[in-house]
Amino acid sequence: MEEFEIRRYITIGQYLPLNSPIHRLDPRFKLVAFTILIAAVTFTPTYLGNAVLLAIVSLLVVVARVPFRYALSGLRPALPVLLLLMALQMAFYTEGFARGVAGACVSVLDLWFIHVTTCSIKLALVSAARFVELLMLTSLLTLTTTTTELAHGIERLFSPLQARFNFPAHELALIFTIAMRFVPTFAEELERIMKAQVSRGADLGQRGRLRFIQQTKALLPVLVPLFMSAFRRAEDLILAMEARCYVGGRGRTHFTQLRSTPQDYFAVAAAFLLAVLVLSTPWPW
Amino acid sequence: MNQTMVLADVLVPRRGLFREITLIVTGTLLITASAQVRIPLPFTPVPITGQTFAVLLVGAGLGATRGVLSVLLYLTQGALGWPVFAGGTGGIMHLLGPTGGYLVGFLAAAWLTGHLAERGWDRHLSRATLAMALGNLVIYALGILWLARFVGWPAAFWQGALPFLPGDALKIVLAAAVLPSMWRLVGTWTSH
Repeated sequence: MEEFEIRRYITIGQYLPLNSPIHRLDPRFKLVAFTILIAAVTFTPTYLGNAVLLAIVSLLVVVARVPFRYALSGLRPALPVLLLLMALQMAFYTEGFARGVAGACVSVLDLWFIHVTTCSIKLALVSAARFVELLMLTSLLTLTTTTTELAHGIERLFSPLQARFNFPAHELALIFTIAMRFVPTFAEELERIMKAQVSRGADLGQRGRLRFIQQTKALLPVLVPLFMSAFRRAEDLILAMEARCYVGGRGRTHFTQLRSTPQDYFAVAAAFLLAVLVLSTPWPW
Repeated sequence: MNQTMVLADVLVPRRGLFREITLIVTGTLLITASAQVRIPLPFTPVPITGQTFAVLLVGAGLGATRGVLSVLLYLTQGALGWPVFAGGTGGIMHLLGPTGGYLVGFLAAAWLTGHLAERGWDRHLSRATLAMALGNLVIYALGILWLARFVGWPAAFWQGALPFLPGDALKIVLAAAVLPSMWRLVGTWTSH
């Protein structure tokens, strides 16, 4: 029955309730600061630049008092794909970086169709480093911010757009909150349908290398009820919201008010400064 | 422009902004849930995952605009680090990394299948199959173009499309079978 335990795989809300300077940041400023850092990571194509960024991100994890085990927990499920891509990049990429990395490529290994050059090694290693840095950054954001805070932050960040261009900032935040709330419900529903079909003799759980066609066919009686019940649930939700006189964001106030502190401005300024420094330094490698 | 109704219009008749909101969220949840379903294939290391399959179905079930917004929400959640992508992964590096093109291709595919469903292509097996195949083609095109920036040209095709083909062929047939079955169910529901 283990393969039906969908709920275990989808764990949203990995918030770690700790008291650290990063936890205390205003979500609006935190989002902006993290976006700046993500941009810095994305546009740094050098060994040294990435080493510095890795150090900065690790420092942030320490400051947030988050155990590294948690910050890196997303690495394990992604590892097979990451390693496969690294191997591909090393073996097949010959043209050098599309942009950003100049310098001559020196061939390291030349075997029939495999061409390993210094460029392809650099590409593979830099991509892997980037992956780890981005992984730590995004985990850090979700580990130090509750989903409610995140939704609130997004809403406030987009609210100037709401006034000017009628952008649905409140609805956006609502969407995020509902989506988060219903993930476990949904996973449960999928589990229930799968178990119900198995109890009626459906052939879902049994393993076997050559039974993929039967296994795919067996998914049909799971997917149809899943989709149908999902749409029914949507109808119920609308009814429930209307019954509670929910009318959207117009004229609505918040129970918690976001207040920015000097630390928030400092965090964004520091992120900006770091990004500018890392991006403008001419790293030798 | 002779727009016919898509599944969502029929199943959720209550109109208004909330319908749009809840349907978009529902689509996202369907993709999240399906992305966790996987069937291993014997001849390639790439398993069948429900991710692309659900994207195509959500596009067709919700219609073009809602489908695209649904996929956009899914990608945003993933970028924020929620473990919604296949195999319980998440994080912005999946979007910026070599496989990001497939994820962006989802947007285009959802729009395409939604657009075709709005013209009634999801009601019969043959046309539904064609719509799903076209949607899948769009995902491949964008995925491989993006992958090529990372691993170079021929490798992008051999590694980025070939191992997925058998699984995707099965998925297309499955997706194409789901849509008309749901329409048949809708028919029996609305009749009593």
